[in-house]
Amino acid sequence: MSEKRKEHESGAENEVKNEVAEKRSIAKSNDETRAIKRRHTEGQTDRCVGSEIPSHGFKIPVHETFSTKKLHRKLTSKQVDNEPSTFEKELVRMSKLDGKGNAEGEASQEWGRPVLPAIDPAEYDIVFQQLDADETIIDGYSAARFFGVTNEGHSVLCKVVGFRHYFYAPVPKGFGPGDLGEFRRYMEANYQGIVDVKIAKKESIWGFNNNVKLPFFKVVVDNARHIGRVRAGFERGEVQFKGLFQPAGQMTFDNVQYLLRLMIDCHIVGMGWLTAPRGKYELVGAAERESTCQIEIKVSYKDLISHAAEGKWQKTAPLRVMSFDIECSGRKGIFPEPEHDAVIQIANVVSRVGEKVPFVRNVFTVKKCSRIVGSDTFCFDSEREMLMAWRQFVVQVDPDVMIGYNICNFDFPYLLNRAIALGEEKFAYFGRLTRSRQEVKDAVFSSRAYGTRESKTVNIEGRMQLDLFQFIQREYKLRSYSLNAVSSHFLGEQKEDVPHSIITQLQNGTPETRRRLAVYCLKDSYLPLRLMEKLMCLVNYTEMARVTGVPFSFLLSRGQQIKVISQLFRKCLELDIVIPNMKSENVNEEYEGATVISPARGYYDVPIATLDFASLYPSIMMAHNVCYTTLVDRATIDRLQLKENVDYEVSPKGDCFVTAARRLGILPTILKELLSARKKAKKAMKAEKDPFKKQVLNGRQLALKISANSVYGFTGATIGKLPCLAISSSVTAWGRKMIAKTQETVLQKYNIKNGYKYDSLIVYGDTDSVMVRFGYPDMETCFRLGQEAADYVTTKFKAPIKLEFEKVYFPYLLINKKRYAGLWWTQLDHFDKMDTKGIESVRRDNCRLVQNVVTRVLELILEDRDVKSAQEFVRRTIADLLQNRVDLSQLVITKQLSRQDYAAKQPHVELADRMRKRDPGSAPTVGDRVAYVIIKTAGDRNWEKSEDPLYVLENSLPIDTKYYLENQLSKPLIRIFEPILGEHKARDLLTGSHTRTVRVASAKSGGLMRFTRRSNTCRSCKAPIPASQMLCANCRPLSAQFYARDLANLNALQAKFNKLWTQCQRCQGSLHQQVLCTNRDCPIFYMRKKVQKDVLAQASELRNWDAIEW
Amino acid sequence: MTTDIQNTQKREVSDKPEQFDKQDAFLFPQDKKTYRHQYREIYEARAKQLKSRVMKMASMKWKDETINGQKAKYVNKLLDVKSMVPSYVIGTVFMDMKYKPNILQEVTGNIYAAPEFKEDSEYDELERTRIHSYSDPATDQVMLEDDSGRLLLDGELLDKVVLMTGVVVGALGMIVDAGVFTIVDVVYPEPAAQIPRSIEETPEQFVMYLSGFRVNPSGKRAPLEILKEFIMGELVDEENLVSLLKRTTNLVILGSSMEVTAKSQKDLSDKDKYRAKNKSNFDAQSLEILDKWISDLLMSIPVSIMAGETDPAEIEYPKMPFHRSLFRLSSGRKNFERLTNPSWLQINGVRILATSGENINDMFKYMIPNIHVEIGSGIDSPVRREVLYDSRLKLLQSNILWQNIAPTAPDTLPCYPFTGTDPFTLNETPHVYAVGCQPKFETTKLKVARKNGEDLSVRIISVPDFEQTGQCVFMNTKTLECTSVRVVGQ
Repeated sequence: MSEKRKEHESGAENEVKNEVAEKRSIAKSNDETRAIKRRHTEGQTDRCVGSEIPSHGFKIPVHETFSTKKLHRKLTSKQVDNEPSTFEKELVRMSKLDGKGNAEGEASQEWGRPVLPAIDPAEYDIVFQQLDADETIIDGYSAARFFGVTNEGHSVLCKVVGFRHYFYAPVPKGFGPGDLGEFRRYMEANYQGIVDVKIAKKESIWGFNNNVKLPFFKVVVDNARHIGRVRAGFERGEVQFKGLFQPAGQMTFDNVQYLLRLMIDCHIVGMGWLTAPRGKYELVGAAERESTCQIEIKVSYKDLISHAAEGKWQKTAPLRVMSFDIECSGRKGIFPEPEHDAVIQIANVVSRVGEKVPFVRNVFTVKKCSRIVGSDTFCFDSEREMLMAWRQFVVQVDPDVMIGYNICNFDFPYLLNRAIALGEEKFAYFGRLTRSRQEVKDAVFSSRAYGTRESKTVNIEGRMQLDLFQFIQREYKLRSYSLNAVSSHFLGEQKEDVPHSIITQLQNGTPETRRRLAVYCLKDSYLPLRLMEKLMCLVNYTEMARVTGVPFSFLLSRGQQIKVISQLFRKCLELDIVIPNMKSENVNEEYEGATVISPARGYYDVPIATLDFASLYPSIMMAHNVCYTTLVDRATIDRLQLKENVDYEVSPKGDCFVTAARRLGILPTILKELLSARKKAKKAMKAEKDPFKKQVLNGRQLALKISANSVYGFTGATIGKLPCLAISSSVTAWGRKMIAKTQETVLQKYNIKNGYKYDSLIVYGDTDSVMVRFGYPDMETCFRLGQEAADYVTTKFKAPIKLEFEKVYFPYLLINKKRYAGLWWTQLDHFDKMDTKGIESVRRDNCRLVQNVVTRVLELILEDRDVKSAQEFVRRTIADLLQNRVDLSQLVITKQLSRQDYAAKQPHVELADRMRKRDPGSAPTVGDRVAYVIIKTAGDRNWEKSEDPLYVLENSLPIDTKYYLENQLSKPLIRIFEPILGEHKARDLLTGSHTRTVRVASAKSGGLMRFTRRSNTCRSCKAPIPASQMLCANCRPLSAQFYARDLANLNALQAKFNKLWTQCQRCQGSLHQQVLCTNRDCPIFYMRKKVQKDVLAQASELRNWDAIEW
Repeated sequence: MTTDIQNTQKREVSDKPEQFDKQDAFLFPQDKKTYRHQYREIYEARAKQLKSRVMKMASMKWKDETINGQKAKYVNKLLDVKSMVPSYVIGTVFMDMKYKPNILQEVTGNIYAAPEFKEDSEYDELERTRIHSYSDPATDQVMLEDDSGRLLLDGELLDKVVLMTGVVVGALGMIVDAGVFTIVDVVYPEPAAQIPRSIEETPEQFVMYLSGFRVNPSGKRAPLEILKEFIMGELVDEENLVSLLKRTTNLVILGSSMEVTAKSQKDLSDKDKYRAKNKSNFDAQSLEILDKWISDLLMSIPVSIMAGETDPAEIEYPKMPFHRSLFRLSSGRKNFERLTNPSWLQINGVRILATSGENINDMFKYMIPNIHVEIGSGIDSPVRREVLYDSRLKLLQSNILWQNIAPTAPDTLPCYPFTGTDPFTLNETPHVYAVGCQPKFETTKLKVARKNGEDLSVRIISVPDFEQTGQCVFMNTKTLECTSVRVVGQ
């Protein structure tokens, strides 16, 4: 190298250094600099344009940290063309943030658990958060296994031994103290597994018994398996001893499963922290270990310490959450079946709770796949190898929680069945128990609140499963539950959706096409994680588990009741109360529900104050001491000579409950604790600065609220564990009485007679609220009177019943019972939101047009207070509808296809059948939501008129706009406008000049259309003309105008075509790749298809002008 | 061959080109369009046409190039670029920008999912700025992509070179941070050959460029009348100008000759309130005025006209010629020519590539940061003025460097989804590149070199908007030098 060249190089180096220094100094104002630079588009062309420039030996500073802030902002910028280009950027960002990535962000992710230091059981307490628990048998005895994680991130299996299951049965009259030994021998001789029979003084929860405790047998058994038969022996009268037991059998008490019994007796709550103290536990030797946990111990239940979830024990261990998604190749037209169709990719994202960035991101693929920056790709030659490597990966990364979208019903079963089909026996072991094989079982979940659902369950011991699909179905009412719809709803993102048929094509293509699939798969595995964080499911469910005490897994797999039962048993244990094992009978006993004050329908242009009872039913139960233990019958009243209103209270329903002085009810106690805990949590939440802890506290207060409210429901659940209609119907009766009393009190006080300017009016009231029109037009007075009235009415009721002034509606549109809309004010200067109840804008069995129109109309009426514009808007919409200008996606109606045993024919069921005949592969199956539009057909039965929107577009089938006007739009619109305009005028909205122009797309095929021939008519006056002409001789002077109109139409369509297809390119993050997406939930999907046809049709229309002279 | 003109002056006439193969280069009549394809095919065709040409320049320029002392290697697929290895790659640029039109957003925010076409007055101030710019410098991202994937670009160089969505370039750099390719140098495709022309044999004649009359019935007619009289030589005494006009052989009108008025649109929508939604931008009266004006001029000089942004023509680029019946008086005349937009012309052996400026106007929106904070001071704020009147010359030059005159089609400039070809990629470098409807007159000579060392020179002309500036541009067909003359105004 010449001397000169060297000089040149070192010079360049200096320059670079200077540049770096400069860069630092301007780092802050980087944006501004760029902005200014950008504007200077004048000046000389760049030096690098010419070709005759010698090599310079460029320098790029390597160790200099990049302006990370700027880069971070760049990489995370929330642009609206979001997918997956941004997702790929997001991956890059993650690999930067976890700091471990090399420059390629590759092969650097470590996923093993932190190394476990040597543990001396005599010196070292094992403290862990309990996550998943199950029952097992150790040495012939029932025992429990708790899986958990320590604060340091070590996984723990703690086997709790020594706890024996038991139940209670009353000691019969005449059973002497000396009989116990003999009775025990009798039991041991006749029943397997009896460990002990003791006598304990207990009290039944059912009915007031003057606080007298009675003797009960406590029957203890060795194994949960045996308890059923012993209990049945008592209940069926098979246990007979000296003729003391009633031959018809007798009630037993405390029927609860072993695991819950243990948790209750040891005060262990779901997701709580446990300590196995040093010297008290035993480390399981390597030979006997049954799990892959780092720490496996055995401890007696007596030694195990459970920490209440307070203070430092509110924390969460660094749980590993793994989200995954699989892709399967499919055959044309057939939904993938594990017996035939291979799994081709599995994407995984693993995150530690509380950390921002998932520390593992990878894809397992069959066949080579180009790399994805920010994530690992592991390619395998065969599917078998991939599956086994994935299993190995799961075991190593050892997730505590496995999440995904529809993993319970699809991904897990598919993987397991596929492994069976491949004969890969060893695959099905990725739980924490080394000897437990993962198997798919069918489960039916039935609950009054959630309905009946069939699902599949897979036992993965030691790992919690949280299927976001199930979670969201359970907690939210949505129009559609596809991942597309859900992520667009919660995360505000549209997602590229690749159809099954194309997945196979991509897989059979090149490493690049497989990469595309992998990015898509990775995105699908990342979304559930984001949804989980956004919806805070883990946090909220954790708190729910802690508050109610049930294991985490119960929250998704069981109904509401178990939560109340768990709390009830815990309280009863403290108070020596036992709970009868009632046979649930399906008594269809109805009782009167809440009251509704008949609405004074109308449009209110003055503030309406809303007075609410805070936690109405819980506070009634507390105020009147309503409980199983305080329920008292006439006979007992007479026997104990109780006095009404001193010793007991009679509910409006006629049931009697003793007062708190006599006996404090157990339900009121639970409720009081829940509500005061909620108050505490809310207060702590306000004071808390740390956002994560804040979330936890918020989750807790929500859980407490839900728990408090579910107590009432529990007592009324007729197929429940402990239904007691005396309680539930009394509570509602008190509620009705209180609403009536409130109405009366307000009306009596706020009227002209008492010096107020107006007579007040109760506009409406429902369950726990009343809406009052005080009559004053200004907000200030309304706020003042509302507060005053709430306080005044509260004085008329027993504590802790409290009437609260919560908000003001202004203006307020009251349509009917449970149907109203209004602006919601909680402060004087501006409204908080628009609140609607029971109006089509929130219902989901309508097409989107209805929703949108109703929302807009309400906005115009309530926010802009412009009824005229609202009417005009409705007219224009109707005109657009009738003239076919409304986009098809607005007219799509979706309904879920449930089991096909409908008595009457339904449009979506019929359509699914028809689609199956056309193409069995793409037809919707049971459980899918079927999307359809109503088209014009010869018949007029709705079930004949439903059609697949895509099919409609492809064949230009005419939409039955009349159906949409009459069956979809008219009712909700009339409902809204009637109170404002009156019946007559409201009807007028639906008729008139705007409905006179109707345009119908003419079908290309089918029916009579095959026999018709289109004749050419003048574009202006519709006179028939020769085929080569556009206008008749008379109209020809208007040629230019008509030509320009066609041109304008074409331009609008061309612009739309361009905007739509480039949008999809941006969304898919590539200019060079085909847009494959078939996301039907995307608002532009149908539009995109339609514009393609429309623009072509209009172009050919315009072409007709080419040959014409005018 | 001469034509009689008034004032008994004789005007020279240029030789009609013997062979001219490119007048139909941008002609894609409706019957060729199927709309069945996706836009990816344009990008594919563009990359196919340009990649090898970029490669030529890159391998020449960077064959011995080093970064941090390491020799740079060519990497064929973007995704195969290894970190910390100096590499050069070729790909299509994509600019991710916050304020690009987003129909998804419009649709989601709209009532019945039909994007409404708003009138100017209906836009609020922020929206109006957005019409002028897509860029937000804080979040803009420049990426390079090929069919394997995308690479995020970074580096100081990005502030110095002009890159644009759809441009095919070569980039030299290295991945230092994960997923981010830091670039230090850029190459463009080798320019296509120029048709040689003999300057000696070319007479000193002139082509006159005009654009942006924006005729409308309520507008002033005087400027147009003055212009006509000027062209016909009736207003000119100055000897230089007289001789200039005498030797002006062609008039080329580069778009936006008509403009719709708000009034005519209102009439249409009031009469037919619930019917048509797409308003025609047609106004019979403006058309008559223009037709009459042109037919008068045709007595004196051949006129070529292309449809621009505000004319009654298709929105898709390239725009097809006006329907001949729109110019009833002029259409029959032999010296009247309706051009596509863009269009190739050949005058006195000079090959001219002309557009009416939509391509540049769209590209300009990528260059100007969206400064919505400062816009508070209203339409007359200095920032806005700067935005509007900034120079476009560098963009025009870039078109030639990129060898593509409308890279932002189809991303933000509507165009037909062509298959197998990208009409905007140059396979011949023009002698003159003229763009109409620009804020001010500018001209320069751009020199580019081919791999064989041959230097090409391209005359760049930014033709000002007549309504705004009152100017027209004369180009000497021998020297290709340009002068502007202010006919009306200050």
